[in-house]
Amino acid sequence: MKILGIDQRINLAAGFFGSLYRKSALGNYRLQYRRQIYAFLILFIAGLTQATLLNYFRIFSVKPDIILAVLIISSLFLNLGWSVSLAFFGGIFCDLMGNLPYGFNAILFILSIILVKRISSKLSVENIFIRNAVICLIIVLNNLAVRFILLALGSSLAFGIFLRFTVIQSILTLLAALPIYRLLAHSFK
Amino acid sequence: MPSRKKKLILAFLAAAVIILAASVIPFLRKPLIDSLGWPLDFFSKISGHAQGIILYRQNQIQNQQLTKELSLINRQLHESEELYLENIRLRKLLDFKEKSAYPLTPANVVGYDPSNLSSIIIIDKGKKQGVKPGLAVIVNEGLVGRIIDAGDLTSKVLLIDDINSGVAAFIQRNRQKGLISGSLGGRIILHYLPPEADIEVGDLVITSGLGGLYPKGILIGRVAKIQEGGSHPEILAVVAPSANLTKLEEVLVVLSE
Repeated sequence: MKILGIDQRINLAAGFFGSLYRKSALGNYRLQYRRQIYAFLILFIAGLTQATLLNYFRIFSVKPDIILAVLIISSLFLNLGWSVSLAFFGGIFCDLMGNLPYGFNAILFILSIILVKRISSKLSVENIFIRNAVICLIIVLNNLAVRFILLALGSSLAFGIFLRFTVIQSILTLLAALPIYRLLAHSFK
Repeated sequence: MPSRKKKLILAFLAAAVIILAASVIPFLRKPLIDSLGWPLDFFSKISGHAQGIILYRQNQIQNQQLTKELSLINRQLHESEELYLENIRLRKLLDFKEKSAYPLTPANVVGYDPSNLSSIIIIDKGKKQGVKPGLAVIVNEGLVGRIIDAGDLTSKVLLIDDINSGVAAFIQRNRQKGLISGSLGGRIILHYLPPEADIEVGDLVITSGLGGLYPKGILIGRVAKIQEGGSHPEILAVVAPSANLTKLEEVLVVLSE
């Protein structure tokens, strides 16, 4: 395998980072893929926040799922390809930190985002009520899927506890989704 | 000389003699000072306000400087309090580690599982520090969980209140055996107790060592409530974990299996 010299490495890095910029009509250079870069950064920060800080803000032992909120709201601004990539990385992050089989959350998030894109093509998600209904629906479906997997793996969770977790998680995630939507809408301008 | 002016001079001389006499004669001095008290107080207040107006800018600058110093001191105080509390926690851990029969290694909790339907923590010790899957994790208050996955530098710990967790346990008082399983939200339940089991609220629950997953004799918690099983003829005991599973910062990994 050919080892690259220092000059070649610098050229490679410059080529990579340079490809992120394109020349605008005014003659200056603008960062392309800006939305996508912001979405990945915000997802990463949301993941770290959910794994650390949000544990101190649990209500009835439940914390909001801001990773899912970021994924759903980002998919409203990005095309299908980028949304699926974002969902994949978000799912991998959850799989690394969790106890479910590796890849389960990644697949689940991808399917959720595809569902969100299908819904957003049929309904206008600019309406806050429709948007919140979509978020609630995705959270309920996600939790149901996790419960079925846990049952298949031989673990049982009382239905009452599951229902309590799902309802409270939906409410908390909706509350967190409002500032997240504003942040992403502002970042993607 | 007009009589009015003469009267004024005489009154002034008389007052001067009285005051002189009063300041010389001790038992008259105190009433004199007391009688001067209220006008002195009144004037001191006026002079204080006047000083404030005259020295306003100087006071303002001094106020800002003192406010900055106070906020710095407050910050240092909070940092000191945090160090003090950490010192107490680490001393407790060290004391427990020295008295414990098991080889232990301390670890910091660096993260929690993002999901609400599982109860997992991430610690900052891994294979390089001798941690491997299957080892028990405790704090000085009691059992926390066990290692389920170990990387080189970090490991995942399944807490005892996770629904996939199972701990063979018994009641310390009468050695009645059962199985502790998690129910999320910090709740753990002691299962498989026969209907005639002798169990009371307040009984201590400890690990039995059966199955080889956890060492014997580690405190799990205390029975908080006893209820009947659903369809099975058994009773369930809701156990309050002795370790605070929602506020873990430092834990100890039991290095021997």
